Amino acid sequence: MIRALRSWFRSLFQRSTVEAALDDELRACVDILTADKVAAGMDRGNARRQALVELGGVESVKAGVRENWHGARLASLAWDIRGALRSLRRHAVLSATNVALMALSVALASTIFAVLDAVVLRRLPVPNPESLVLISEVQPDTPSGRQGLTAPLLVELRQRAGGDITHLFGFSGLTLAVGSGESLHPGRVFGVTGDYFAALGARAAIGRLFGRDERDLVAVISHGLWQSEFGGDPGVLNRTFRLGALSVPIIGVTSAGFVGTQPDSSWEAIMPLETFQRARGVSGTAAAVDRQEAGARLRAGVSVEQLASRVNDVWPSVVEAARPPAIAFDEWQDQRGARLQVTSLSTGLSYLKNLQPGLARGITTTFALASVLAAATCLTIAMLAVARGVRQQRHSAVMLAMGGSRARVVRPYLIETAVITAVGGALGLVVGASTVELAAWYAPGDWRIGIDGASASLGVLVAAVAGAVSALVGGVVLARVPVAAVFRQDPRATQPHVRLRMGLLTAQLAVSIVLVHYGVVYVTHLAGLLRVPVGFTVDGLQVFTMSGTLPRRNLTRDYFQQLLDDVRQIPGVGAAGLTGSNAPFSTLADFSRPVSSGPRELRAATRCVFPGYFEALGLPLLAGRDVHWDDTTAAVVTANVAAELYPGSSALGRTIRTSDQRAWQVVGIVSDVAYTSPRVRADPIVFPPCLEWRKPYPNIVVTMLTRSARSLDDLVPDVRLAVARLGAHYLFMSASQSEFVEESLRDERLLATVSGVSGGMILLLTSVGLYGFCAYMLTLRQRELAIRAALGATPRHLGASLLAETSKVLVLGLAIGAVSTFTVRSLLASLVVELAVPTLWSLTVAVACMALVAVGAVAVPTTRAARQNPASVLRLD
Amino acid sequence: MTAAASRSRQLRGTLDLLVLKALSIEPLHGVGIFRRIRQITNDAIEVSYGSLFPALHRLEEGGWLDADWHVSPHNRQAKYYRLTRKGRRRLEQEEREWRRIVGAVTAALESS
Repeated sequence: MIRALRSWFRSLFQRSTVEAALDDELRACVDILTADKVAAGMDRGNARRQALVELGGVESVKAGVRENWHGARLASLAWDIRGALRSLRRHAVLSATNVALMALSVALASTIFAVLDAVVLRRLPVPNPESLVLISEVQPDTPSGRQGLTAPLLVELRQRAGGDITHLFGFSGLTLAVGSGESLHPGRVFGVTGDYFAALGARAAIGRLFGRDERDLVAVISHGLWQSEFGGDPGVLNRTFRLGALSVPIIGVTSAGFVGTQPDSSWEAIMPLETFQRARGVSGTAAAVDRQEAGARLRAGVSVEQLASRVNDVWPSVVEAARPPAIAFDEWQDQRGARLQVTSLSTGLSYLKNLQPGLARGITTTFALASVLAAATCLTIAMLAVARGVRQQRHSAVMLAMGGSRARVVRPYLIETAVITAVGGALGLVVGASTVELAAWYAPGDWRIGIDGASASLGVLVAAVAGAVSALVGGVVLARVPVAAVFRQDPRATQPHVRLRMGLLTAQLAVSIVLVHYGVVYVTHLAGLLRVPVGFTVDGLQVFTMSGTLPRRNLTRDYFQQLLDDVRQIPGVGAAGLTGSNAPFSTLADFSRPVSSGPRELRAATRCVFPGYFEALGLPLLAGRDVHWDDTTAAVVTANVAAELYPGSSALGRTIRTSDQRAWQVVGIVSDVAYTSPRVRADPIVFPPCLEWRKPYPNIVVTMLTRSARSLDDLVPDVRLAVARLGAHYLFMSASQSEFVEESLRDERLLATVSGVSGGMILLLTSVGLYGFCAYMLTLRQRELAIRAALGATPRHLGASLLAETSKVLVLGLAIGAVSTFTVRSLLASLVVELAVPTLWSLTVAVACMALVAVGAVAVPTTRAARQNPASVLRLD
Repeated sequence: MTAAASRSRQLRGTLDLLVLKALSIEPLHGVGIFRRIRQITNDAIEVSYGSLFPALHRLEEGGWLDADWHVSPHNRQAKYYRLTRKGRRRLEQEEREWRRIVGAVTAALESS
């Protein structure tokens, strides 16, 4: 044992001493044999030669001896590792490309999984999330096809379907001005009904939560807000929380990690629905028809389908029983959905599908693009593996010819691959940590996306698989090298690899064109939306949202007139206007309701305004006049409403009826305007005067628009002062109009960025693939090209003929990709998501981009090869 | 185990036995062992140096041989191998095994 250990030690760490001793031993052997032959009468020179022949070659004997040393395999491995590192250094560009691709695939895989895990797979962090469901009215007219329920409907539903559920609750979220002191900030708050906390298994960190019987004006704040705003002070329970105009006592703090039903959003406070509605200025009949999302927890043993059947059975009686007295029966029936839909609320995926369909589309498309990119990266890695295998073919043929085993021949290549995989994988995990952070930053909402053990393990697995595939592909190329054919430079020796690489390249080109095409589609789609004429001037427009202090009967006509006058007096303010509705592009919600005039009807949004609003917005008045302070039944409409209701005649002076059955006389027509989002292009809108429309009380929350060349930061203090001076409103949110434009195109921007980056990366990958393929083909045909050049072919002729050959693969790949683009779209559309529409024009642009990159990638090595001196090539051969 | 590997192992075992036997009388250097094997086998077996030196190092690594550097009769420093106690025990064991196999095979060949 001790002898073996000593031998191991010497073999590994005193290698030079051991080698010297072996050398001495064999020299002594040669000297003894020589001396005997000299003694027998042979001259010294011949005697030495004979001795060496008799020994059979010193190096050969040494090799035989070394194999018997302890640690011989380890030493051989170390030798191969040194060789692999030398080879990697010698082909630094190829090695670096390989490592970079490996890192890219690992980073992509880690990021995709981290996002997938956080957004789609992770269950709501509540007890038994699988028994949580969402109950919605099916409303075919709405964009998502579904809507929430009103509070009275929930009460009736609980009474009639309570046997199948343990808890029923409603929840509704909004961004309001919140804070603990004088300084308010926009914060996400929720109004909830019923058994919200009990259903979600929430616990209070301090204080208490509330149940369905809570009638007081109270709020529960989040653990995050407790820490950030109150420094974790237990005395917070004696404090009040500002919620718009209200000051609400804090009764409890939820435990850390409680996210409610919203895995994507951080929230600050939860309060009973009535408190929430008061903060929003909703009361009376409006409160009775105010919708919330309805959630429920299934009783044990009850399935989603069983509950769906049960609630639909009782739905007609629920509708009838929950009708507010102020609403006519027919109107109430019209507003209700035909049936109820029950869906799971347990995972991020179900949350996205039901409550965030726009985000679901963006995320799904991102996944699809990232997956295609990962596939293309793997294809490029496989192509590079073939390239590395072919590069070592001649060396392997020499080793095989000298009697080396195939395993021995492949081993250095495998070690090289392992080094690339290890370095690329480690780099990929480091890059992945950053890209996951980037994804978390870029993803709308707070999804708690982060790299964890699972996503890191998946990255390692991807590296291992990519490495194994790379080892297999290149290993097969090397192990099956036809020795004689390689030495003869027989083209048949390389033919299978050429076919393999052509196949891989064609596949890569096909995948690439799909990605590049969608990159073009989404980028041009966004660019198109950014160019859409929205109907007013966005630049120089500022938006200020204000909340009123109670009682709101103080918000009179004189007050609003004074407010506007004061703001217009601010230096640099050219115009100011007020609306009781949202600013343009500040919400994507659909407020359209039926508007009629006689037999004609259309869906239009009703947005109340104060006099001077159109001037501030910069919306041209096409005919008639603006609303006046003393108007009672006058309204302004957009040109498309006028044209739809009164085709071929003037709408001025005509009467229209809004969904609340009120009649308005059209006194003015403004030009069409994109109010919800540039993608809508022209919203049909009716603008009644706010003071009349909101009777008996005016809006408590109003939005002021100012047009000024001054910067927003510069303007805010002056506006805040002007508003505060009158003492009935306070300013809680300010933004430039261009911020809203950007926000309204969030999904399009996300898709354009992701698809644009993916498209750019795939172009880079394809250029690497094409360059490698072309360089490889040129290496194979170096001799032939040199002969042709020697016979008089010009570099241009040679380059053209090479380009023509590569173009076959190019055309085939692009053709397959072009067909795939449309197939992918219909496949994905049927599976998950509606993608943007590819057109012949976008395909042409994509093909042109790809062709440009391809020609560049092919032209560089081709030109270099065509200009080589044939004499030097043939001499080296 | 393949037939080729089995034969290689058998030949290696025979060579080891011959080397151990050659060194059972006195320590020898490589050339001396080569010649001693020819001598004790009446020139019937001639091993190559390409096989002999790996065998010597294998047996040395296994602890059956030990080696020292001495001046040879040619007035040259040479590496002399000698049997260790473990090597001597192995020689006896290998001799017994060889005789048993040869006896069994001879009996088989002489049977009708």
